[in-house]
Amino acid sequence: MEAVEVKKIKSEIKERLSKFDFSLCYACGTCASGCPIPGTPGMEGWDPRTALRMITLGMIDEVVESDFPWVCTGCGRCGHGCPMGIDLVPIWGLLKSLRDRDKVPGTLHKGVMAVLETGNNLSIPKDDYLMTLADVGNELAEEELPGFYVPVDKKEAEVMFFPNSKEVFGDFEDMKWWWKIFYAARENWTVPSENWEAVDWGLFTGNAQATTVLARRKIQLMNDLHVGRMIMPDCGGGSYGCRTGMKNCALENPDEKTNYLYLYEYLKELLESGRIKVDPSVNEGKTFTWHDSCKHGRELERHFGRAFYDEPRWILEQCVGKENFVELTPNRSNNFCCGAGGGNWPMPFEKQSAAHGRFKVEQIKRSGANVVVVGCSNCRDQIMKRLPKYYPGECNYEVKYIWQLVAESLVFEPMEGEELAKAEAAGAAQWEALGVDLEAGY
Amino acid sequence: MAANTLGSVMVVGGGIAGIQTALDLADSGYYVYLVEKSAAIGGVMAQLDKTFPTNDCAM
Amino acid sequence: MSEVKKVDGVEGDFTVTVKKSPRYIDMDKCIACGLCAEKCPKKVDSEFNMGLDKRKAAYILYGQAVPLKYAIDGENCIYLQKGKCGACEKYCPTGAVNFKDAAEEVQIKVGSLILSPGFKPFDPTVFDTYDYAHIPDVVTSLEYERLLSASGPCMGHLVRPSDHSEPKKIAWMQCVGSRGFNKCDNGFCSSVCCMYAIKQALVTAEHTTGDVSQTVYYMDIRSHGKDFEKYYVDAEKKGVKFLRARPHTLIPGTDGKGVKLRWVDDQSQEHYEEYDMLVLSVGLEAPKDARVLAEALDIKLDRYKFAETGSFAPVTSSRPGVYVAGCFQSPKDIPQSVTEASSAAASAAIALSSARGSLTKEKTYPPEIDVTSAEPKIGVFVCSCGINIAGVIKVDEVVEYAKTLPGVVFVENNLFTCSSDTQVMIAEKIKEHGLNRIVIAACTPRTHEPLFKDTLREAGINEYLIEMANIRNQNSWVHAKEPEKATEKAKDQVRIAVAKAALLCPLEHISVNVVQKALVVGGGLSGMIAALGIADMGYETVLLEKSNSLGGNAMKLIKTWKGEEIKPQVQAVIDKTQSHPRIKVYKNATLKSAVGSVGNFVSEVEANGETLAIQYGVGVVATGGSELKPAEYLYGHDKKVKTHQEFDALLESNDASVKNAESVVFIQCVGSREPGRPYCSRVCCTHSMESAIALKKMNPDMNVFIFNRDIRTYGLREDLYTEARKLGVIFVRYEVEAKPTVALDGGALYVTGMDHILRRPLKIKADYLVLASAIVPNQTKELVELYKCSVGAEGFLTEAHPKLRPVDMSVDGLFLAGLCHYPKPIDEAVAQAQAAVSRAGVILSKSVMPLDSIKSAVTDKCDGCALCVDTCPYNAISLEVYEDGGKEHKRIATDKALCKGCGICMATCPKRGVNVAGFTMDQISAQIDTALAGF
Repeated sequence: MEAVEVKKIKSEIKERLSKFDFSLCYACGTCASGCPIPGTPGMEGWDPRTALRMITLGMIDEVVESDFPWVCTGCGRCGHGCPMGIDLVPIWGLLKSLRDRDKVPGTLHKGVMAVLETGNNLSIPKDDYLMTLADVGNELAEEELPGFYVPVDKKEAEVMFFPNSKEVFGDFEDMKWWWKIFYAARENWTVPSENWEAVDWGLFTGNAQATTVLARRKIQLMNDLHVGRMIMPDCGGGSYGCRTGMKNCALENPDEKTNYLYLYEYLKELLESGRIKVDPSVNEGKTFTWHDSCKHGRELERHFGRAFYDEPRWILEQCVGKENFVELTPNRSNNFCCGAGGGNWPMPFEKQSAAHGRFKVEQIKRSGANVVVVGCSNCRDQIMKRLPKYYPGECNYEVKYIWQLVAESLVFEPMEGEELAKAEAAGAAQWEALGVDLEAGY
Repeated sequence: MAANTLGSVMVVGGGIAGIQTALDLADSGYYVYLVEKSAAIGGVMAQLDKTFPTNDCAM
Repeated sequence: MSEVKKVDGVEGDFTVTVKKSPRYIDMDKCIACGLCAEKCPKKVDSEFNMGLDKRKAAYILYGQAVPLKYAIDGENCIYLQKGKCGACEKYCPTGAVNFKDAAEEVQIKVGSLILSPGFKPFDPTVFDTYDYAHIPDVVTSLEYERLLSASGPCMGHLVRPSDHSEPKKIAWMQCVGSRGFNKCDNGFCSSVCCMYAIKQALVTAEHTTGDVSQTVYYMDIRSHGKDFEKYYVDAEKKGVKFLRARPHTLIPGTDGKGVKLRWVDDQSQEHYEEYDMLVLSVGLEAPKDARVLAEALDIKLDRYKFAETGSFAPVTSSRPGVYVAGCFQSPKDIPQSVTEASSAAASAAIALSSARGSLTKEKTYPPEIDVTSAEPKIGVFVCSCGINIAGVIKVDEVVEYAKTLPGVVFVENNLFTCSSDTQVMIAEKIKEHGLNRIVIAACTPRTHEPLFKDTLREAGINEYLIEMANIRNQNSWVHAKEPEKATEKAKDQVRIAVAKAALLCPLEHISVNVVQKALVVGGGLSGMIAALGIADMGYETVLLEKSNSLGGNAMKLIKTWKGEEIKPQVQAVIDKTQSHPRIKVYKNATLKSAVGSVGNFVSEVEANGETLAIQYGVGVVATGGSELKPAEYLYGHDKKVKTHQEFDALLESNDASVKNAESVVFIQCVGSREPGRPYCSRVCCTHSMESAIALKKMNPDMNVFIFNRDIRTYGLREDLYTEARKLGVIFVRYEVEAKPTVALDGGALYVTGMDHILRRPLKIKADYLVLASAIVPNQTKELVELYKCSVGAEGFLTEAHPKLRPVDMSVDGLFLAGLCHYPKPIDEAVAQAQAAVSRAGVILSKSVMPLDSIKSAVTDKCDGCALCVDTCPYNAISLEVYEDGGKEHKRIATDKALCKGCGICMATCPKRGVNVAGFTMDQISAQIDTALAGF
């Protein structure tokens, strides 16, 4: 076997690496033992310890050229267990950033370019976007929520909501859950007409610059429309990316900041204040569990000093009752990643991503739950779609968003009389002003 | 150093180290006060089953 | 139940405010009958058993507790909390319960303080990954210790907490709360966990039935103490599996029993395991109240809240007159704690030497009842030793059997015959039944006979009226697999002991005058510290050094691991030694002879061509060790290959070739931990860290590699390992079967070794290769022969007991210190030398010292043939001429101070002309007769 000659790391990379204190590594292998990659097909011989060892010995290029940083879901269990407390995930992020952009796997980089150019990852034109909001909203108003419409660019709104392009593109039904909640709470809310994308793929490609730009746009929108708070939906590319970008913005310019609200805080606030009410009896007969996502738990805690473990459990308890809730083990800060993190839902490493999820499948099975409640679209799609495909017969569960569960359990009063008339008028006026012809359809 | 030296010593903590210190000093002609927080001396060594590398009974 | 609150005054005259918490039991009235605990309705988690079971609010900490007096836990007592109950008070037969007892503060005047508050076992609940709080079969090592213990919650028959079944497959996880900054701030190594885990793994087999599998997950095995490496290798041979891996997460096993884990090996392969039980080897933190104690005493703590001390005064705190010992100074094992304890005692004793004896009085015993002519009334006490004996031998049967033996009038079984409550009981039984001969069927007289002898004296009978039958070491331990036969053997042993006991006679107490002067052999740092200490206590001391200068190895070293400059400090010690009015230094000196015994040795010393005689009461041996000159890795063939001491000299000289080096490679364990030298040299890992750090600080771009088998920077030295890694030193692990290779190519030196993670060879062009070679003891053959002291297989001098008497030698009155005992760094050598001072001081402080009465003595059958004179190994027998009936006769005479009672004379004598008291021919014959009677 060819002998390794220890290479000097380029000073610029060394400088960037130096803030991670990775040389403290004992090579004890705690990270490897907690990482889903060992045992994942196509990743033989790779684990965080090996990758870090290669960096130590100056073999940066070999790691950058490998799939390792990309197949990593960024779940952060490596750093979570590291006796030296080395924060490994950002090191993999740095290595991702060192890869030529035209060699970024799959569509991620294209998505980043698209969002920078068009305001959303999928380059959905503004007209189509508005039409979708109007149309699906209208459908909802007719079926369930008289007087409902999606307020766009509404000044002085209480909260700003950022849609996920995946839903705007085709998963229309998934947009309705939040809308129902806003409706039931009679929230004064809005969505932006431009730069509305919730999801930040810059986080997945090691593109810190893009992440910063996307966060700055959101801050800008909030300021322009004088909206008090934004809701941070989703986990990784959504809220975590945005939070990271916002941190960068604040570092560059302390004035660049805005108030934000995590979806859990928001839902809890609505429930606690009585602005919405839920009826647990609609969920009877099923056993629910909660999937702690990495970026709303462990990684958020590590980087932003706060995690959402208790809030979602409290919300679940309101919706399903304490007796119908079971825990996954391990959970909270030591939970297993679904396998889709780090951009592994859209990336072309499906087999690997599914293999990462083997721990999730096993722990759900062990818990005995029929319904897995999640707080992130990638976790949802992974657990609901990819895992059953790869583990047929082992995934006997439903998956629900936590906001879906809340929406499905809602007890609310439909608008009537004057309130309804006012809302309908306001909706009609808005769409007219925006030039959306509701009658035209597609 | 005080001008008038006292021939007594206080040992704080009655584990194996404290006991050995107290014994040595008492055997050498010093009055020893052994101060222990719990209800009995012996410390952790008394809790051990056996000790390495001779497998002696710790008690 | 007391704590120090405040210390006023200065060294020599402190006033200490001590808060005494209420015990609610009058210690003078309590007879430890246990009724209070029996009647107490309140159950509380037992702290002694780590919460694994319950005690009552009226309690004793453990069965053998000293003092054996109950206490009432005020925080949990129903009466004290709610004003109702009082059951204990009602039932106490002596009226010892006193609910009105209150906390009080007392002021005590002392000359010095010694702090030994111990440590706090790390609480692993902070690690969510191990889920200790929720998985019942994940326990801490201290809990496991209690599960193993005969006095623990499962009486020594190991069962797991979840379902009380016997675990068959057990794992240990090392470095829990040690060597980590994640969720704790314990960057240090706790020093003892590797060894206790190995011990637990080995001992587990004795506490379970059938086969058991033991796996230890570790980072580095740190078996750096004396005989530790052999223990580790032996464990491996006995089937304990050692996996260099670290599981990340523990999850409950099937049905919540046992534990499951996944681990990944260094080739990225995943493995899944399920264990019946897993033990977290938790670290040793500074005591919980370290900060409070430090404030009360005004002493400095280090970043981990251990007491700050220096290498040259390892037990001296930052406040004069306040000393520290044990784990409060830094995490350490028992031998080191006991050594430091003596060291602290010496430090205090030296400082207060002017007041020695001013406040103490002698222990007195009741007058001895003469039982010489009394009919033997034998009492037999059979010890269960927890399960050590009772787990194998049917002690009940032995008890019944003993009752049938001639002369036996009383027999009893005890859980621990050695416990202090049992001593009181034995003394009572002696008085009650008029017992005049005692047989203890328990363990070895080597460790326990003194205790029982004292009990006899307390009871008013001669201390030599005792015989021990070792039914533990010589029976239950070695015949564990044949319990039936073991029980029969125990009966034989008891019968033999009883046969001898019937013939025991009281022996006269003898003593020697102590020559209050010491001899120290070896003028290295340890020897000098020992000499200075003894001299500072006020005793004349002679120091012998075989070379022409003092200082030894220490003068070749640069800095201690704590960063202190060594040479100036050692020079100061040399100057002080040479100018001390009570120290006489002889250089170029060798010991030529040694006669006498504790309290009174005489030696001939040859110094600078002259011979002189020295009389001394105690001796300290500090003959040192030296760096091995390696025979591998091209040492001696290429100048770029150096030993540590050689490289240190180069580092000190600021040689440009070092500063400009591109790569420096270290290889650890050169000559250590190999068949010829199966021990760890203890200091080399730390030494390499210091050198590597110096190199990296000199030139951050230098590539520094350390090839190692395990890194053993134990205790706070781990900080150096952390610093070295932080500076970019690269550590490569090798197996002893695949050592790195060194080759020359065109004058360039290449070191090649397999990278343990990448499994690819690393080839390094080395400007220097530093070999961390073993420390070997200096030759002590003559000394060992002169003193008849014991020495280990590797040439290190042997201590009397590795834990309880770590600086005493096998010969009474001789002590050891420094490298002649085992490789050790400066701070430990100083501590050991000071400990030798303390131990020597115990003897020197008395002008008269009692001796053992087991001595040979001439009988009227001696005809002066002198056969025994030549065979006596201690030169204790001489021939004397006497007159009888006007004729000259010859007979032998024994020097009682020299005689060790070994009995060779008696075995040699063809005429029964010499007898050893306590082991007479009659007594031994009786033993043999009764032994053979069984066949």
